[in-house]
Amino acid sequence: MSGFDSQPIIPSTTEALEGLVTWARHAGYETLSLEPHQRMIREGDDNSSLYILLKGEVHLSKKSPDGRSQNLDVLGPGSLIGILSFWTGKPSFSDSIAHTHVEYLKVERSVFDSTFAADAEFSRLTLQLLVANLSDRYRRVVGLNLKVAGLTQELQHERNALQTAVEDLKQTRNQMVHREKLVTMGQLLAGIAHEINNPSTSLMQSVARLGQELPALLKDHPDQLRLLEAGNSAAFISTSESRKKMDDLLSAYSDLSRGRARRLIRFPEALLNEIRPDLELSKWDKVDERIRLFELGSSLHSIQIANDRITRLVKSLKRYSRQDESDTTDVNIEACIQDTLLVLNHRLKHYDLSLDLADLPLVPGQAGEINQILTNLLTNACEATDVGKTICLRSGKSEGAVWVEVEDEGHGIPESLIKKIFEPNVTTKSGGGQYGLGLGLAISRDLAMQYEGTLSARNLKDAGAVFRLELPLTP
Amino acid sequence: MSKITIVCVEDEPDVLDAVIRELEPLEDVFVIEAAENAKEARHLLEQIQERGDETAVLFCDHIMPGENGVDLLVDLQKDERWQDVRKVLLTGQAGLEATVKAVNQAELAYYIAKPWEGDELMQIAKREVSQYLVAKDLNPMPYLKHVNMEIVQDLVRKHLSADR
Repeated sequence: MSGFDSQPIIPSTTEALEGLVTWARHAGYETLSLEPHQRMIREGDDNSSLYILLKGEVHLSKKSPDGRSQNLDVLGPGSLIGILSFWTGKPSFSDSIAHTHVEYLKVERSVFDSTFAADAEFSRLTLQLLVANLSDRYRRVVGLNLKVAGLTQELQHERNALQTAVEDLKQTRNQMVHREKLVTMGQLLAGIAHEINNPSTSLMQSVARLGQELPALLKDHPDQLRLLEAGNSAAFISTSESRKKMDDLLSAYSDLSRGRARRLIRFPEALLNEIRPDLELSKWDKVDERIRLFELGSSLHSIQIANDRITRLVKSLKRYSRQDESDTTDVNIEACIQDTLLVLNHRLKHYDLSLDLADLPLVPGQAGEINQILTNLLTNACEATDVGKTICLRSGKSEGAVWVEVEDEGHGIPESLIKKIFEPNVTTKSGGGQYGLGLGLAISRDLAMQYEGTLSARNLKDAGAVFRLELPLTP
Repeated sequence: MSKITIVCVEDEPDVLDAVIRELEPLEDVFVIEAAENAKEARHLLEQIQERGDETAVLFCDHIMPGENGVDLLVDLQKDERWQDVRKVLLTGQAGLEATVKAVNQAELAYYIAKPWEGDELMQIAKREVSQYLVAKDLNPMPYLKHVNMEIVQDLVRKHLSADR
């Protein structure tokens, strides 16, 4: 049984009750009894009797809208039962069921009414009893209401606490998802670097072999070898110089096509002079043969340069993502900076990058994570700054620590956000940045703190901001 | 006769080299010139005009040191000397905003994303030169080998009947 106050209501109306009981006995009413679970009054029935409980406990209950029986109250000796239906003639308000062995008197209305009308003392006592009963029950209801109010408030508090907990969880989940993304990207990068490395190595070897075999092939043809080697070492000329040289050649040899002229201008002067007789006589086959050999050497060179770039990039990518390391090691911050600069080159080349880097001792940490922080700071600087403006990267030693600063000429950090810029979900980027969660700095700071380091920011007087990463030499 | 010129503006030498090599076959009848930055491009356009030739198409990269490609194209469009030049962005890195600006303020004729596929570059060059011929009502006959026939067919018809 739920919803009960376990204490039965025992109306304190001894005098009035005794009076009523005495009258009832005189009127011939005998004590009736019920055993536990026997029903006294059924809810909804008509009731024309007043029940006076002398001994035992009666439970009142009522059917709730969903059909279940809802306990209302417990009544003890001295209680009147069936008051409402008896007095108002309406169907019984509730079920009354004996809880223990119960003794009671049952008074008919007709008898009651006549005595009530005739006997003043009787009516006085009865009213007293009725009021006492009803007011006790009213008190009970008030008590219950107060309890409900209290419970409601507790519920509200709990709800608020839950709300906060949910927000925190969301936050944490976002951070974890973000870090997951970064980890996944790191893995992707490492995977790509590895995949590229194989064909790149093969390229390099093939080119090296070509570079040896071709001259060997031509060793009996020194003229051709010279052309090949000239092409291999020729530099690119600026377009303005190209134009001038082309104009000179074209005006000197009227039958010379622009395509041929464009290639001939890269020839060293000595070789070009050897070709001039053929140009005069428009011996295009011989000219083309020479150009072909020169271009062959030049193509070889281009492949070598391009492959160099790929190799360096792959090396940096691998170092940058450092998937192979999960433990703290001694990190070379300078290498981290170089790798990050290389990886971000496609973005940084739009800006005027100013570097002021010192020799730095090794620092305990994880290269992959330090690269993440540097990437975050540099991309933030790019986002805040107009193309063409300056971004400074500085590093140095201080008391027992190493520091790296990224300074930009951008719009700076709004004063209102300076204190909060490292909190999650705080961003100055409009319209969704790459990840749009405003978590970059929060995670970067977390990472720095893992190694007992700090990440701080300040605005510059004129414009722009400086972000400073400090990492201690010993944790 | 005034030579019809195609200008390529690109700051990275190996990319410029690749562009020119691809377009070289057009030098049978047209002229290809190159510049490494916006400033030089302007200078080049003037030089071409001074020697009596005309620039029909300008291929331009976006990210360049100093002035960027879109800003150059927008600026050129304001100059009535270069308004008829067909302007094409050839770039790997122009964001939406920059491209919209080029379309709206520079009357951008075409946008080619790097790297371009197959002979896309050549086809666009032919197309844009053809548009230029039509716009200036020039005689297409000397250039038939390298034009987009669909675009110039009316022009060809006109000049064929005129020649009779």
